[in-house]
Amino acid sequence: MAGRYVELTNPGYSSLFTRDLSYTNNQAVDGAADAFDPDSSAALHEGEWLEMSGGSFSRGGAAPADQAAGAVLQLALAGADPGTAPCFLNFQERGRYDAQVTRKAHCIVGPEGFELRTKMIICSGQDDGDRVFVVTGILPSGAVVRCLASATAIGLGNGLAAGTYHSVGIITQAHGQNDASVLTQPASITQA
Amino acid sequence: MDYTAEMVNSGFIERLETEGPTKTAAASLNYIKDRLRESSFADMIIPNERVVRGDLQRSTEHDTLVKIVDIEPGSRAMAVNFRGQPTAQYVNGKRYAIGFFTISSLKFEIVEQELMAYEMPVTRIIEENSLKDMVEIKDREFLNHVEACIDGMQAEANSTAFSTTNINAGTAISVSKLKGTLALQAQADSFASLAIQRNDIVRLKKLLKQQVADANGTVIRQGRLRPAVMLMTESDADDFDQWTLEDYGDRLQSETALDGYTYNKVLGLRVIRTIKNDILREGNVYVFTAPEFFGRNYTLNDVKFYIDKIANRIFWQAWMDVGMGFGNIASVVKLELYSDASDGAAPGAAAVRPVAEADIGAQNNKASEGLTFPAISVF
Repeated sequence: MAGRYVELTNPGYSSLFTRDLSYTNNQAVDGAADAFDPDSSAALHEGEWLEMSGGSFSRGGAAPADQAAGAVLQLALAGADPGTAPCFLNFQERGRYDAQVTRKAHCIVGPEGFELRTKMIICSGQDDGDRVFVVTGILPSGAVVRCLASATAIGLGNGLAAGTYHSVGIITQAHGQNDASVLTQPASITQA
Repeated sequence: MDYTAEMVNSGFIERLETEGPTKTAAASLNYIKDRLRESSFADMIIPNERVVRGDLQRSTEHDTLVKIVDIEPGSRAMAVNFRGQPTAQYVNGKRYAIGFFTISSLKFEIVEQELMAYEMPVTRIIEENSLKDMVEIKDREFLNHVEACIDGMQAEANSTAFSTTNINAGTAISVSKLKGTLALQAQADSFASLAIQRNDIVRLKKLLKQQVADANGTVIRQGRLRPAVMLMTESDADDFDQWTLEDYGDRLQSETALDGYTYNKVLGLRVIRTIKNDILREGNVYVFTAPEFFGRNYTLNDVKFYIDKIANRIFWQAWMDVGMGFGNIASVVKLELYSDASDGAAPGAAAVRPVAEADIGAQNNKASEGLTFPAISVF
C-alpha cells in the first residue's frame, strides 16, 4: 500500500505535479532486469528518486552495488555516489498492475517546496537540517535502489570526493534511523 | 465496441441533445479536417467487454486491480485394452491476470473569451476526437502486447533476429513470423515494405495450423489453430489491387480494375484495414484466431468525461480504464513484408514499430508554419 516508504505531508498529492514517463534501464545499476516486475532485482520501489532524460525516467548511478545487504537500508557502494542531475520522487508501489502494463514510472516533478516523510533514506536521528542527496542504496532484501542520504551519511565535507552534486532538499525532522521528513529544495552543492 | 458519444457522461449527451444534430452537421462544414480518425481495431479483433469492480481482484501490495481469467485445462484420451486403466491426470488448470490501466485524453482548457474567436464548435470537436484519440492509444498498447506475444514465441525457439539473411542462414525460425515472398528474394536486408502476395497469406494461414519445432526438434508451436481475421494497413491492402488475372480470374479482375478490391474478406480471412499507419506500420500484417482462443479486452465501467467551468476558464478531460490480456500467445502470427529484422537492433527498425506515444496525432497540415494556400508562394 502507498505509504510504506513515503507519505506526502504538505501539500497533499492532488496539489502536486506528476509525470508518467517510460523507464529506461541504467545498465550500470539495473542490468537488463525488468524494473516493473515486482520480483526483479531492479524492481522500482516507491520513494526512489529518478532522473529524467530523453523523455524517460531512469535511475542514476554509475556502478553496481559492491556492499552486501544489511539489517536496514544502507549505502550500496563503499564510497557514496551522490547524483549530479535533478531527481524526482517515484510515487508508485513496486509491481503495480497498471505500471506493469504501461511500463511507465509515475514521478512527482513539482512544485518544489513540498514536504514528505520517507523511509527510503539513509540518515540518523541526529541529521536535522542536513541537505539530502540521491545515492545508490541497498535494502535489507538485497534490492538496489536510488534513495536519499543525508550530507552526514555521504560524508559531505568529510571525505566525499570533490564535485558538484544535486541535493533534492533538507531534512526538516530526522525521526530516527532511515526515517526523516524532507522539504524539497533542489540545489547544486559543491564539495571543494 | 465503438466509443460513441452515447458512452460519455450525461452532461455531454445533454448538450448534444440541446444543440441538436442539425447544428452539429452544419458546423462540421466550417472547418478543415486534418486526418482520418478511426474506431479501435483492437476492439474488432477482440470484442470489448464491460466489467465492473465486482469482476476484479485487488492486490495485497497496492491499490490496483486485475481480472483473473481461466485458461482451458489440457486433456487427452488414450486407447487401452479391455482390462486396462487410463493414466491418471490431476486437473490443474492455468489462469492469468489482466491488469487495468487508464487511458486519458489530454486535459484541455481555454478561456471563454478566446472560445468566441472560433466559428467551429472547437470544444465539441476535441471532445469527440478525444474518444478516437484514446482508442488510438489503446490500439498502440494492443499492438505492443501482440508484438510481445510474437517475440515470446520466437524466443521460445531460440530464433535469432528475424531477417531474410538469418532465415537463409537457418538461424531464424518461423514460429510466429514469416517474411513475405518478395522480402525473401531481397538481396540485402532493409525495411522497405514490399507488396503482399497471395502466397504470403496462404503461408500465414497455414502457420497457425502447423506444428513448428526449434533446432533441437522440440515442438514450440503445437498448431491446430484456425485463422479468423487479418489486420493490415490500408496502404498494404492497396496492393491487392495489383494482383493479376492469375490471382483473381476475370470477374474479380474486372471488378478490381473498376472499384479496387472492395471485399472485406480475402482467401477466407476477414480483413481489417486501418489508416493508422503511425501505429500499425506499413509492412506488418497480423493474422489472429477467433478471440476465444486468444485473449480478452475489457473496459472497467464506462468511458468517463469531465467538463467544468471556473470563472471564464473552461476545461475538460475524458478517460477510460482498460485491461487487455492474451492467454494464448500462439494465437497470433505475423507477416513481415520487409527483409530486415524488426526484433533486432537494426538502426532502421523504428520505421516498422509503432511511433512513440507522444508522436501520435502529428498534424498533416502546415498551417502553424504559415503554409496554407494562397499564403504560400506560387510559382
